[in-house]
Amino acid sequence: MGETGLDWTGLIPTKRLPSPGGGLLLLGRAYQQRVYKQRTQYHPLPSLTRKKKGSLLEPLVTVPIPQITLVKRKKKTMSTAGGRRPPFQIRPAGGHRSQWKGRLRLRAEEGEGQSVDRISDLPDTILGDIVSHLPAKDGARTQVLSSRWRRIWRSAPLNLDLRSQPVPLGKVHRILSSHPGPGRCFSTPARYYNELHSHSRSRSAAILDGWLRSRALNNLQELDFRLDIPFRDRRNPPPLPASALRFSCTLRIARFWFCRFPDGISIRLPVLEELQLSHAIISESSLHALLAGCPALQRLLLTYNDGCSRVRIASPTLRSIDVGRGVGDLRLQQLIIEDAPCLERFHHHKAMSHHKMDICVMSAPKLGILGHIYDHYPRLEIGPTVFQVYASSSLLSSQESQVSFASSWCQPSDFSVYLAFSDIIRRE
Amino acid sequence: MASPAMVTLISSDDARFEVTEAAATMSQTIRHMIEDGCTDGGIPLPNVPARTLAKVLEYCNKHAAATAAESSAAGGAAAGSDSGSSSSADSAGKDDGVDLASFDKAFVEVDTDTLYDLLLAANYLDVKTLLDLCCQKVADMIRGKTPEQIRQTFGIKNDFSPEEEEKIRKENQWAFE
Repeated sequence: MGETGLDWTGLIPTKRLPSPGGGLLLLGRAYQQRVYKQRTQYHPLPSLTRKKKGSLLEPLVTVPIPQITLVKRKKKTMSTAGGRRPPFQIRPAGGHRSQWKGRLRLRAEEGEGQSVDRISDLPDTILGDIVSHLPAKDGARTQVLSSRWRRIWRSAPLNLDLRSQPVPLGKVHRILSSHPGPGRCFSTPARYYNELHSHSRSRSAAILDGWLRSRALNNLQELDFRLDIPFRDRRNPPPLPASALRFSCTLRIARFWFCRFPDGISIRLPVLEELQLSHAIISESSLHALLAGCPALQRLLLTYNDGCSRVRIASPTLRSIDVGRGVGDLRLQQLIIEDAPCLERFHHHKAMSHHKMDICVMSAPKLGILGHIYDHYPRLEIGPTVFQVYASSSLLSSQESQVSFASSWCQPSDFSVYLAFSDIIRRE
Repeated sequence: MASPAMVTLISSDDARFEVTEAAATMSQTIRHMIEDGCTDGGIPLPNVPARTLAKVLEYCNKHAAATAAESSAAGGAAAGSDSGSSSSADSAGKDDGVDLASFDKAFVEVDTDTLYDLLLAANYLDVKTLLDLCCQKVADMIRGKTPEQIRQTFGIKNDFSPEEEEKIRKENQWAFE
């Protein structure tokens, strides 16, 4: 075997790479250890010794780097080796051989300064950002990638979206307790109501409260509190736990669906950008207090709620509003947009009932698109202009104004009409 | 309408880029430099090479133009005439939302090396939306894969001993089921 004459240990770079976690890990610790056993003259790299106690702590010896003929030589070795495989053949588990070969070739061509695994060279903050964009399960799995990734998931904000990535409810607590926080996103599991709440209300409320109070969710930025309640129970949704409001200072997005808001609410959500209330029961005073406490609100959705028949909106930051009427006794009947200088989009959702609702836009100079208007929409006021909405074909006629629509067109086969208002508003 | 204020950015390899202030200030880092009055003779960005900076500016130009078009409805605001490569795609009108989303999607369809460069640049320049976009792209490449597949995709070397790896898997068993 003297014929091959290749010192495989030379594959290890002679210098320490400039970047931590860089290419020096290319051949891996498992490989290193096996090589070490086979060839006692092998000396590991200093940064590997840092992680390993005892046995591998020996000084670095400079060994020559073999030239680019690496891959060829390997083939030769394999064909003539007569069973003895060079240590070099030991690949990391799972790494595809051709890719592995390619990497070595690349490495030999590029010289010692370059690392193939560039992602691990990114700073902790960026890796943390990446991991916190992953669902919890995928995020937690990155801990096992390598020692570089070991701490990243736990140091990045937790993203626990139990709606899109359901886990057995019994394990939610374990996930929450395995992360020190803070929280980036939390959504309630879709199965919560059926599997817990319908069996024992008090017990399920305590469990939900426990989740929301866990430190993993401290400083939560995005809360999706949506209980999937079967239709028969929707008139009587469970109350919103007080713990759901403990993130008020940090929430950027809050969605509350199928829950009952406490009366006399007083809360300030200084950085909230998106608020959704749907199928919720909330009193008029609570809703107005909630809206008044959101100085940075940009997107608002109010659909199918009950308890509040009139909403007045005045917001210097709001850009988009979605509304839809509910079916309860105190469904939304009047929406008044008093002052919304940034409002660009208003969208009316499909109605759940044929009850009427008035929409009054007093000042919204940028309002560009008004969504679907149904034929049972009686009155629509924009500034001094009042529009009466009639049935399908001649959908709109202006009662008090000669202003014509910038554009309007009927959607085929339904009652809705789509309008772009920007011209009208500007003319006024 | 007055022509928009321009600033000059200098990449690490001394290439100069002239861009609108609106596009440049999408970067909080540059915004602070402008606020501090450090713009004379151009703003040096020693951490960003020209190739990456051009790409970042393509993103900023597009988004700044869309914002301008949005805020001034259909009128005026001719942003987006940079010296190097002009992205004069600021078509007046209201194609923003969908258009911008498809632009973003196409923008990160790049090789991983470019993606890492963009991540580093977006982090250094503090362009939050670009950083989010690139992080999401990498996250999408990781999502749903086994650790082995992730290592393979990114060339990550597993330096754990089998025992260490097993220990971590045990600690987070819920994630590996």
